[in-house]
This record gives sequence, C-alpha cells and structure tokens, in this order.
Amino acid sequence: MRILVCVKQVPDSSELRLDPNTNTVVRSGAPGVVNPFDAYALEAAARIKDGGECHITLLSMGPPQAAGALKACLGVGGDSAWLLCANELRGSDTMATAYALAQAIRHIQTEEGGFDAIFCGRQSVDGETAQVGPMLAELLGLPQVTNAVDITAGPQGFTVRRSWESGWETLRLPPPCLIAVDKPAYEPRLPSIKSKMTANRTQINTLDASQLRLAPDRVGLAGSPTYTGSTFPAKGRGGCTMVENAAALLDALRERAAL
Amino acid sequence: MNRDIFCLMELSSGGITKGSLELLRPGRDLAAEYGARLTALILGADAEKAAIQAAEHGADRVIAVEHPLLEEYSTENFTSALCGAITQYAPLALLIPASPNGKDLAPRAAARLGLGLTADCTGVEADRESGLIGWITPAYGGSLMAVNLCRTVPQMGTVRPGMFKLPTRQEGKRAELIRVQPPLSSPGNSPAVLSRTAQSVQTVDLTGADVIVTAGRGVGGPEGVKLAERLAQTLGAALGATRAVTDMGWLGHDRLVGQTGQAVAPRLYIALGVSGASQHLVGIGNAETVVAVNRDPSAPIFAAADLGIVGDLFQVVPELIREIEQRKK
Repeated sequence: MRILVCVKQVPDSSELRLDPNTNTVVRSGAPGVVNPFDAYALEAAARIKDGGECHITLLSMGPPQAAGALKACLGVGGDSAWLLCANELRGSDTMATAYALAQAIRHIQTEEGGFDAIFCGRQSVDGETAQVGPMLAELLGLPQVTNAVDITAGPQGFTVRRSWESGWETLRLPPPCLIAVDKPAYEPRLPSIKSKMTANRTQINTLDASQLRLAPDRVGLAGSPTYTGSTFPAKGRGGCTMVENAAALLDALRERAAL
Repeated sequence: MNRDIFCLMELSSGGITKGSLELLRPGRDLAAEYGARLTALILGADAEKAAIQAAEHGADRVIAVEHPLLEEYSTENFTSALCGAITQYAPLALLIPASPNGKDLAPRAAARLGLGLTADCTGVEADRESGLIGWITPAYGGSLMAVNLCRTVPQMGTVRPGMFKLPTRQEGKRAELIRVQPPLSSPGNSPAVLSRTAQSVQTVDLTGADVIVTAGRGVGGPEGVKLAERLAQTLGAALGATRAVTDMGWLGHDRLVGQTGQAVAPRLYIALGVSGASQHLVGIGNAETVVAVNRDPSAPIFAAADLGIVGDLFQVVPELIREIEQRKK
C-alpha cells in the first residue's frame, strides 16, 4: 500500500493577533504549523500503516520553511518527503495550486512508483476554500470522497465514513482515489524521541518548476484564473464601545433598543 | 439578451434547498446589472416540482437536467451533468450553494473545464472597476473583505447559505422550462454507497432566533456552558456555540454558529468567551447588535462587536443575570 499525503504549512492561528491600528491580522512572526486537517489526513494514513505494510509519502508546496512541516510529519508516520518550492508559484490560486500539485505527484510517481491513494486535509485553516482536494482529484482523474472522518483499507478498497448534509454515509471506493479528510474522532499521534531522530535524518527531496515542466501560464498570480481585485474593510460596526460592567452594558443595550 | 446568470439549485427531499433558493436574490441583482436572464439550473431525477419552485422564487428560465442517475448525489454524475450544461449554455456566471455537496461538486467541475472558482462567498455583486463579477469573501481573519475576480467564463463561485434573504415567493409565476437528458453512465471506479444514516438528534434552528447567547472556548468547560445557558434563559435567548465548544463536546454540533454551522441574524448576539475566529465571524455578519465578553482585550471578537466588556465571565455573567432580573421587577 502506498499513500501520498498533501501537507501545507500554515500560520499558527492561536498565535495570531489583531493589529489594533489597522484591524488586520498580524501574520509576520507567527510560527508555522502543519495545517490541522492535513495532520488528520496523515493520521488516517498512519492508522492504515499501523494495520499493515504501507509507505507514506509527504508532499508540500510552499516556501523553504515548509520543510519544517514536512519534518514534523516525518516524525508521525511519513516515510519520504517532497517539497515543491518555486518563485513561479507565488500567488497561485486553488486551481494553479492543484495543477502544480498534480504535476508534482506525476513526477513523484515516476521516481517512487504509483499511489493507491492521495489523502489531503479537507481545507487549509488559512485559505479555507476546500477546493484544492477535488480539483487535484479531477486533474489526476481520480474518484474522490470529501469530508471523510474515518478511513479503513481492505481487500476491496477504502471504506470511508463521510459527513454529508444531514448525517453520515459510508462509501467504498477502489484505489487509486483521493480522500479529503475532515476532523476525525481521534487526535493525531505525537512523535517519539526515536521517530523524531529518524525524521531529522530523513532527506527532504526538493522539486522546482523546471523539473515539473510547469506551464508558466498555469501557475502563479498570472496563471491563476481567479485573483483578488480589491479589499475593503468589513462592514463596519462603527467600532466597539467598551463598557465597565453589567449595568453599563444593559444601559447601552437599552439605548440601542437592542433589549 | 445577454448571456445568462445561472444559479445551481440543489434538491433535497423537501424540494430545492433554502441555501439554493437564496442564490436567486443576488442572481436577480446580477441579471439586472448585466441585462442578463436569470436561469435556475436543476440537476435531478425529476425536476418537475422544483422547476415550479424556482420559477416562483424569481427564475426567468429553468433548465432541468434530468437522469435517473441524478436521483442521489454522486461526484462523477453531477460533475458530468453540470459540465455538460455549462458547455451547452455558456452562461456568464454560475452561483453554487456552498453546501457539503456543492463544495464537492463545484471545484471538480471547475477543474474539468479549467475555470476559476471562488469559495464560500458572503456576497456577490458587480465590480464596477473591472466590469467583472465581484465574489466577496472575508480575508485576514474577517477584518477585511476581498473582492475576488475571475478571468474565465462562466465566472464561478460557491455562496454560503444564510447570506441572502430568500426571494419573495410569487405564487403562480411561471418560467420557460427546458428539459435536458444528459448521457450518463456510472463509471466503475465511482464510490459505492454502503450505508446512509440521517442524524437522529433534534436539530436546533438558530437562524430565526431573536436573541442568541453563544459560548466560546473561554467558557472553559461544562460549568461555563451552564452559565451561558442561564443567561440565555434569563433573556429568553437561544444558545449557540463555537467550533471549539462543539469539538470539546460541551454542546452539540447543531448549536454551531459560523462557517460550518449556522449563519444567524438575531437582533442581539452575545458572545461569551468567543475569540472571534473568521470562521465564526462569518456566521454573525447579519446580527444587528453584537456584544462580546472576553478576558483578552486583544481578542478579534471585539473588532466585530458593538459593545464589549473585558473581564472574567464568571464575574460578569452572574452580575448580568442579577441586573437583568432586578430590572425586570
């Protein structure tokens, strides 16, 4: 069994603070962590590995620092790691990102062999689009299951429990396929000292734009079908009036006829 | 007549979903702006009744793509049917509800046709500067709104449920109906559904609540939740929760307010120990007055609130309950 897990390094949201002057989130200096949903995807793969022979390949696209996220993942189940890092990719939207990841996976398959499944987190906590998984599945021509909360592997393929509109459904699909993972009922495992040391010794393979023969008109800001035209401040509430205590709050609510 | 504005209508047992019918409101505005026709696109086994529903909610035209394989949602059949309709009718824009299935389908179809797609829009309107459709999403923790533009046609986006009021139903209004039968066949590698279970728990509808008290991570545990509940009872309010609180199991998922929960529009929203993550804030954008109580003065919730108290919930909330009860007398 061979599973590739897509991993993104995201800013640690618990460290994010609001700049009171500009009302924007202070991102600089926020330490990077593994996107939680990707950690769940990796844990789902690691649990399959617990039950039988399985090689877990990690793939991340991002700046050189994203190697940190890959190292962390190597300590909790990953066997090999690839980092796609290229200036050409800056500003890529979800479609351009999915295209670059698809090209990277095709390349890794020629080096390592094919995969039975691609696991990814349902969404990143910074982008929050949940679009890259299905787009990647389409570009690779794989069937997909999104919102997976439990995955088991058996002789007939993967059995996936998925949350949908008003409940749960259990699906079975044959390899190769792509599964986008939502928060499961379990927490991802922690590394041991031994697994951390092994992770530190594991070489991270790097990939660049030319190796993957990325079409310039399909990546980066210019190659993305969507872009941000402008921004405007969120619908102003006219600022927050701070009050001292409960009585003052009730007075203020009366005044606004909110009570 | 210009090209069409398409709104994808999702079906459930009770007809077209609310999150889909809502799209006909911004769809109508866009159609007026671009001199376009508003078309409701329905994918299903039998769209007869849904077609009437869409017409009565304002669609100028209904395209019903019908096939027995569209009875239940499946990624491949719906992608194939949707892409077929896009290619055949070449609309100017396509609005898709950001429901779980809508979000499974839209990126798949966008990738198949090489089209741009913006996720989870909270607004859709003509962008005067570019002449394109502005797909509006919260950015940078919700303090800014981004106007996303799409270079490809149809311009596409998924739109969060609860962002628009349902268009007024005009009983008896009819629309041109086109029925299409796509060639579909279930591919062998499609996921097979082994079982489906509907959630048996009674779901809480917060969308119509007049006053909501929401417990966030800062309530600290079941005891804090009880305190929030007491305040809610005192105010005759509904009780809501943030993701942290439902994840901890302190309150059920059916009380979740925000991106993956319910979008609410109460007269008064009281956030207790809520930090103010963008996923939460997007669900309370339509609240009239927002009150935040939090120990941390730099918590982002204060930027989204009208009134705030920096302090310990276990002091402030009992005081508030006492004060309300006193004033009632």
